[in-house]
Amino acid sequence: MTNVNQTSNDGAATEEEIYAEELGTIIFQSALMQFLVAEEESQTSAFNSFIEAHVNTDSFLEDLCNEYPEFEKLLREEMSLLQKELAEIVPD
Amino acid sequence: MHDEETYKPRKRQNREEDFDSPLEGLIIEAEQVRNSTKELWRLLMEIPQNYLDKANNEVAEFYVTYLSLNIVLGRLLDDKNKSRNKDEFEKVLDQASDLLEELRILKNEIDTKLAESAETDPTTGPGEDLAILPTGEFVPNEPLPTGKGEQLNDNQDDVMFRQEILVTNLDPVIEPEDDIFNRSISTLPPEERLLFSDLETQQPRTPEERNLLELFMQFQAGQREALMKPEGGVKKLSQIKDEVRAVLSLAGYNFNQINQLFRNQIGLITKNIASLNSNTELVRREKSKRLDEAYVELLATVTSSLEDSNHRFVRSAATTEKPRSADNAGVQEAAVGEPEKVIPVQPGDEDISDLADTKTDQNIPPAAVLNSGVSLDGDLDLSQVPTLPVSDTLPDFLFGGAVLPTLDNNANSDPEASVVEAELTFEQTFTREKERHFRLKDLCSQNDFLQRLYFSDLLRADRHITAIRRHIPLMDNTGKPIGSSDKFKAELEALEVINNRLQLALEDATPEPQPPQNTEEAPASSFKLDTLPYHSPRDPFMGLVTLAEQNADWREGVGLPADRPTDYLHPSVREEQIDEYKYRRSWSIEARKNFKEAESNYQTELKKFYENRGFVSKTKGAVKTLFGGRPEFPSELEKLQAEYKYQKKRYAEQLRNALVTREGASAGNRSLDVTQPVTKRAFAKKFVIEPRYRLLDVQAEALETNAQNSKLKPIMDQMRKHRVPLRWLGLLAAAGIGAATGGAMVAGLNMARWGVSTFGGVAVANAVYKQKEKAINKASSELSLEKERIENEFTFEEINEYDESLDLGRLKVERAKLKQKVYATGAAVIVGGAAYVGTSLIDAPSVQAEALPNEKGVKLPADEAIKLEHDKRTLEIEQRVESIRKSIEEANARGALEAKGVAEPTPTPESSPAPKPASTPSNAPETLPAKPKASEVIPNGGKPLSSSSQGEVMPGNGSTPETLLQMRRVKVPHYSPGGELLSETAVSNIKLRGISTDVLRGAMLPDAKVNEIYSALNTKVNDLLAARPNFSQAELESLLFRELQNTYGKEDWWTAANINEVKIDSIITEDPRVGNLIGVQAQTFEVNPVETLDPGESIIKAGTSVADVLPAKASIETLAMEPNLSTDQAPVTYARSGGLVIDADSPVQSLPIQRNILETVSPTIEATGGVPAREIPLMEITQPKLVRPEITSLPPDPNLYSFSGNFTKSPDFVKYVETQYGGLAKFNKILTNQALLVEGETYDGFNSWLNEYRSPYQTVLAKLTIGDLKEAFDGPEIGNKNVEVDGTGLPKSYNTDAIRQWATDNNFKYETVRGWLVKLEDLKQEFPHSESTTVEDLFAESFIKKDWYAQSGGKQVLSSVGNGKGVGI
Repeated sequence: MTNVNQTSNDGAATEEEIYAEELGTIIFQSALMQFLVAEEESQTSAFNSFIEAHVNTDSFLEDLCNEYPEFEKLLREEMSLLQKELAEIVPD
Repeated sequence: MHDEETYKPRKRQNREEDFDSPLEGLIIEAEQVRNSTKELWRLLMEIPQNYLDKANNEVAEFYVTYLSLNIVLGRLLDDKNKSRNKDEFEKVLDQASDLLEELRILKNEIDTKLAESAETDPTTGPGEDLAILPTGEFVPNEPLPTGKGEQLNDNQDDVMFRQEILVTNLDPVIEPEDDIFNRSISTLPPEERLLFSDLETQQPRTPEERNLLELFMQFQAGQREALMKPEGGVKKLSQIKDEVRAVLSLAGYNFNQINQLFRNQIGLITKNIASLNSNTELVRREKSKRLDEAYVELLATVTSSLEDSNHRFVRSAATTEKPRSADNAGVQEAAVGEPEKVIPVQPGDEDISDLADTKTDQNIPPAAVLNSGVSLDGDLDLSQVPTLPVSDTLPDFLFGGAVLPTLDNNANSDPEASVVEAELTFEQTFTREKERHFRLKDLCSQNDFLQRLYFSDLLRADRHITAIRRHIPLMDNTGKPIGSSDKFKAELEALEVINNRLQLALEDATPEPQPPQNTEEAPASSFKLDTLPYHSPRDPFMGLVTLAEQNADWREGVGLPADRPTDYLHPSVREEQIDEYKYRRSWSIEARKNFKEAESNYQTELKKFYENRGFVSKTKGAVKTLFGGRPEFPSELEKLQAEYKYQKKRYAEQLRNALVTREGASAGNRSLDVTQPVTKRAFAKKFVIEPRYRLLDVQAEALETNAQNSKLKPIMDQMRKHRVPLRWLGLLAAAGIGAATGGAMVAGLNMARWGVSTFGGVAVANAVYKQKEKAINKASSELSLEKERIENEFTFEEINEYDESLDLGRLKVERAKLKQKVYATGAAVIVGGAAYVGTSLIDAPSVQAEALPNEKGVKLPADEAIKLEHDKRTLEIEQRVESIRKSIEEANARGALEAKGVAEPTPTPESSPAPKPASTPSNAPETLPAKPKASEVIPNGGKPLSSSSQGEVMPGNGSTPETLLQMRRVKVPHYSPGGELLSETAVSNIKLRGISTDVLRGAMLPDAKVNEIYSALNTKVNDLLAARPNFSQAELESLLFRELQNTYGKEDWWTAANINEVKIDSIITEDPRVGNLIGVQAQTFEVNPVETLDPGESIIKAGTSVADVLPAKASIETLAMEPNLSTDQAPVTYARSGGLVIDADSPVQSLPIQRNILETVSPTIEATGGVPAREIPLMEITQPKLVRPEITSLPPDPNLYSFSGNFTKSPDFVKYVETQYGGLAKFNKILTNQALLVEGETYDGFNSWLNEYRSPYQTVLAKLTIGDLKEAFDGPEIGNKNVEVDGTGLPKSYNTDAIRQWATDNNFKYETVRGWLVKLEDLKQEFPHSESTTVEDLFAESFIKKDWYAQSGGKQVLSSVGNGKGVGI
């Protein structure tokens, strides 16, 4: 389920795009799992519906964060964690 | 394409009701069109150019149509998210469908034309190579090389399969990829693909490969005739070509050389064979005969040609003999049975043999250097050409594995020669990477998990290889790319990246290798992955031998020496380097082992933890302990986690060290460049991404028992389907790293293909910025509406809710701004980074479809500048957001107090400084206060607030040098001497300077103390305001300083901070009776009669006499009430903006207003006995109050003065402003202020607060002529009195897009510019003008006229400069 390579290869994606997508998947899924468990069923259902309705819009991330500030917080935390980890691991 | 009148939508392929959204089916259909387009293009490209030449016109039309279609598709799909309008989308889609139909027709026409050409001219037509299907499709008539039969049958699958492989079979003469290597590989089904060129290390899997291999082995064994012995039977010409090419390739010719040789010779042979166009038995026999002859003839011709062209062949053998000296002409026989390689040297190449005598290199083992040639009888005569020391250009397995790179002993004596040797050609590098890839691919195929995980990598590598092959003809004789090599390099780099990633993955997946010291003892059949190179594309030697070692048995079976040298490293590697590498490698292996163990332990315990916790019943609090890398694990689990992290980091470090050492140990002493993005990403993938995925899997398993799990997959599927948001997140994460590492981490992330924009670099950033601006505008609009709603529905009881609502709205705006700037900067970082790394290439159709606009080079900002800007913007916006959040929290905290009737200050955007022009001229106000809203006047029953009721204050933002004391809802009553309440003054923000956060922090005060001081400041200010309704700024400052000094003067920090003043920077007051008067006035009047100070420049120091700055009689009277001050200290005169000196004793016509002075009109009233001196006309809302002598002159009458087109240049105007405004400079200043005021009405509180926009009038608009505006924005015809306007008053002819773009480009607010144009249209109707009339002319004329009416005592109430239309200007 978490193998982004399997799902991201559209025949046109570049190496770098897939790389970014992998990072984004980690961030989003990590935040999502926290969010799903932390919120009530009704809330997560609404969340799901919101994503389905807006995911293909230009301002999806902004709208999502505006609508679900808690989720934005989780995203930021996950992003920060990932950045920190990358900074530690990747040679400079 | 479509006639608007007759257009009717096509019947859709997808039913709308089958999809969640109306557009979804259309988008899918559009993608289908694009795929069909690509397929047509691919089919066309499979037809050799020499055939296509027969249908030039059709092909040209095809190209044009294809290009048009791609443009339409590109717009369609790029904008798919933007095109919310289904009908519009559908219309464009139908255009694309029409074009696709045209494209299909053209393709059919091309096929027909080629078929006809083949019939009429079999020598140049497709002939045997092509066939026409019953459907009319043009397909190769080529036997399948996979043993499926040689004759074309009618099976459609076979036909399509042939189509797939057509590109490698049709024209071996000009298509280098048609060499037998690639054809064999490409024509095999993916699952059966075999590295043909790796025959020595792999078992051949097809008869063709086996036959060819045997042929090669015979050749290697010295059976020269094997090369010339064609197989019996009828063979197709293409087969013969392929075999000849294969033999020559195996003999060492490179693609380019073979192509060159073939090009001159093959034509005649082809024509000869192809002339036999009949299919009779007799002809077939004749054809067979000729083909056999052609085979021999071909080789003979080619080799002869080589000799005639002075091509020389070098065969290097795996001997340890030293090369012969030059005097023996380089003839050196190879040992019998030794493998050999033949490398042609092209005419004009540097004669490296000249270097042979002088080169010495102690690090390079001697190698037999043999001369080779090809005789006319077909034998390779290796004794006829001189010995040449050449660099190794082919994998040494081609030479039986015993051959090391052949270098002359004297090679290094000549630096230039060393360069030549060290310089690998592109083709050589490609050959090595290609072979490495296939080897890795084969290894991956042995591991289901890896094959699944890296399936996309494997496919992409194949595409890179195919793409490179297409470029091979563009190599020069030395194998270097001709012309721009960017594409080649990018493809090759991408291939290398994949190879490196695969290798890293295989390292993890393969069994623990033997320690380095035991390497030689390892079983020959075990794969030693550490012998595979993780190298740069330039390294020719690493990792190409050891795999062959595994196949010793097979080697023996095919007659090759079973023993291979175990020292696979280049002989030039120094022993100490090898030792160091082995040492480092052993550490790396150990670190990996430890990491794997730690990871396993951690994950095992993690799973147990989840299971034991009963995931279903977890509470919110517990959830936080389970996910997100911040778990509150049991101590044991925490230890395992810490160990896991440590071991992971250590492994990364050790692997890095080992790789660097290994690279350093290779020829050329090149080091692994860990600063390269590809390397960084490889590390990120191996040590961060993949482990995180594994952890996510564990967590997802935990979710299996949770009902919420059912949500996870669908949501993630949605996200993956639309990808762009995920890439944005990844982009932002990478940008954070990139900023810290100079952008290298994110270099190469090409946003242009993420559906965001088709431009690069800064253009992307700008595009993103503008795109995000929509979100800001939306949030701002919502906030404005909310403000309006509150104003209309205000009730005192709901005041707290209003605050929260407004603050949340403001937070949304700030959040949008944050994202806008960070995103835009991130895009610049990333795309900018791509410039120096090189973006990956994509297939030609995709390039044309998606990247056409990107052909122009975009100047990219320096990485460092981007990084700084990114940091700056991020910090700035984050601080703002944090500040607002804090204010909300505090507002919430105050809510409890307010519920008890205690009024507390809250921030108000309207009271913040107004937009600050980018460059503030001396005659312009520094800031422009926004119009206070009536809703902010909070009635309190007319009673003065006690100091105790003022409550506490919100401490200033610790990171800002100034402090805003929020004093909203503080009201100051004004009483007549008789105690009658005359008015109340609402006090808004007060900004303090002098005791700034920096000062206090400089005194090393803790935050708590700082907060306490600010609280005291606020309390004292409120006390003063409550007790003393009328006072001046100077007085307040002085008194405040005194109060604070009394309280804190004996404390150390007071002395340390050297505080000697309290500066009130801005006070805006409001009187309900005069509406906005104070706020508007508080910016135009000057303080000092002698020295003209800009607003905010009057510095009041402790002890300074307030008389120095007190201008108002009211203030003087107020001060008289203060025991410490006397009216004697008050000034008797002060300056007006008109420059006139007014005696303080003269009748006060209006209250002089000074910026930074807390003042109201009411005190004046009070001072004159509670009776207003005169009614202040409403015009003063936007008009600086001017105190003038009696008006004796009339403004220039437009009906009287001589109109020249420019009012401000007319003598009448100059004379009038001299009289009434003290000169042109003064007038211009007033006029500019007036313009800023009216512009300010188009700003909301945030525009003002953030100083977002520049003033159009002040910067450029004033000097623009009507003609300029007409030309720039398609303005209405000059002189037209019946201009058609829209609902806002803007002439309909204006191009609003152009206006918007201009505003955006110049950082003007669109509504401001638009408002000016509306206003301008009104002025044009009122005043004479011409094309050369400027905005300033009209505005000045209007202002003077209205001002004259107002000042002349006329009761004519002038409307604001805004006309009530549009945005209010």
